[in-house]
Amino acid sequence: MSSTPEPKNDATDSAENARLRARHLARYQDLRRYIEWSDDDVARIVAAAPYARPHFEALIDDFYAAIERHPHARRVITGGAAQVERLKRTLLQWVAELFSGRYDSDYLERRRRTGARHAEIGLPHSYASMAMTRLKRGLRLGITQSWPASSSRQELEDTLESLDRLLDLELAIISEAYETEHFLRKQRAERARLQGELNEAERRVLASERLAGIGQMITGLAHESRNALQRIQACAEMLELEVEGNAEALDLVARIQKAQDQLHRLFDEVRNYAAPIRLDIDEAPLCDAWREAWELLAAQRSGRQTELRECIEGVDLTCQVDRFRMSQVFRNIFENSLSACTGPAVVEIACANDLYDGQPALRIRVRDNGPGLNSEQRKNIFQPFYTTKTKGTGLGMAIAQRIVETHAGRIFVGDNNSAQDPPEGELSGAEIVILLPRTRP
Amino acid sequence: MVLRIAVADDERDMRDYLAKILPRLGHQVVAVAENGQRLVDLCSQTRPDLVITDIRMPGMDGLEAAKEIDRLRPTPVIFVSAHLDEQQRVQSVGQASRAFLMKPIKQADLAAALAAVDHEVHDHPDGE
Repeated sequence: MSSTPEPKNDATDSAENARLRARHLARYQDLRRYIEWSDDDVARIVAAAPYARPHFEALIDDFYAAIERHPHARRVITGGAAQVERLKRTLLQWVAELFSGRYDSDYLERRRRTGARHAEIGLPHSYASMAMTRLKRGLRLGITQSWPASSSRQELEDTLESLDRLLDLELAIISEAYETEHFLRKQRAERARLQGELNEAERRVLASERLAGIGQMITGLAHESRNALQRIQACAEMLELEVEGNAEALDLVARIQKAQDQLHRLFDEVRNYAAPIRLDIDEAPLCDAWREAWELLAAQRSGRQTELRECIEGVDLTCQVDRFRMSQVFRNIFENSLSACTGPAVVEIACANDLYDGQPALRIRVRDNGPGLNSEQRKNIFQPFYTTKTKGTGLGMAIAQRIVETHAGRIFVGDNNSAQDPPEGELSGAEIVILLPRTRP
Repeated sequence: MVLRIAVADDERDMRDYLAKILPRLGHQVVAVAENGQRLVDLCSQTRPDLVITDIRMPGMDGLEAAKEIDRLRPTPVIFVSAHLDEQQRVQSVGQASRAFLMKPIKQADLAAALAAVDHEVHDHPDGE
């Protein structure tokens, strides 16, 4: 592969290729003018070819022996002795062409391709540059050794001077090939990054379209269910009055009431999950949201030993968030922790400054002292309707994810691994991490 | 203070419920209607302290009825609806105070809303 596109059958590509070649040639000619390269130089190089040629083989052997001795240079040779033999033949051809005297567009393109290939296989540019120095020294030495006594010393000096400049030009070609390769790599990486962003955006649009469809259906369903739930509620309360004093009947009414409450909650959660989320953004310390969530769980915590630990010293907790929604996120995480911990429950929140998508963000790590998450739970925890509890809709973490993503943040399972003994004083249970941008895009 | 209350809902279960529960909360139900027009008619006859009405009813809806009642005599209204998006609309209806309860409601929800209205009616009798 070369740094310039190979010609294709397509006429437009051929024209583009011709245009590129012309540009490269113009640039090469400009560089030649810069170092005052002349026909005399060409003549001297061609005349020196017979004195240089007998040394090519030894020069090339020395060249690859040096590569062998240097791990950074050697690592680009991945094909063993056979590759080295092939490369030696290529280098021989390269050196022979150097003395051909035909420095036209075809010559230039072949040199560019060689340079680009070096950049492409990841040979550091400094090694390419040093290799050129080594070749220069070898060629100078060879020519000097074979220089006929009949020719003048001045002629030798002039020839070596021409050789130096020719090899400087070669180095310039190689350097430019590196630059081009570097630029193309950056362009490829940027294209891959943009493609990744596009894929992610498409995924979000698809998910949100799907949710919007479900949301519409759920809104209709929620309305009808609210009317029906109201009738159950009304009748249950009236029945309660009718059976006053009848303990058995009152127990049955209480059970109806409980089932009705459960159904009500289910519909609310499903609607919460599927309905569009409109954020009511305010700038506030995030701890307000998790402390509120912890307070709201007072009923679930009553009668058992529970503790909320905060490791937030020295971290600015100010974020632009919808406090009510973020409180919902923490509540859903805490609920899972409280139900996973069978004994005394400890939930620990640790915050740190971070970056997300290049923007200042707050990293919030919530850990508990429960049994932790197994691989299946880690994989599915954010899937709607996934639950390991006997009661519960399995929407809590899916809702949390929707809310965090609506804040342009990310929520994921942390690396805390309950299979290993944690360091002294650290909690070994589930770990949920939230990355929340500090400001709104 | 005992409030004289007019109620309206197109669901019979809800009408029966309000008629039965409100007296237990210490108030008097003076009118029970199944649509907005009937509610307006009954309010002109009974001049209640408070109206509790559903919003979506056949014919004249709860919001229209509240406007009509306001023209006769400004009266506080508690709207009860299954539609959360109607909460915004009730604020601009008429001059008297408006409250919004989301179905399904329980006795405790009603008691809290009534306590707030009771306080207001007591401080500003006859809607003045």
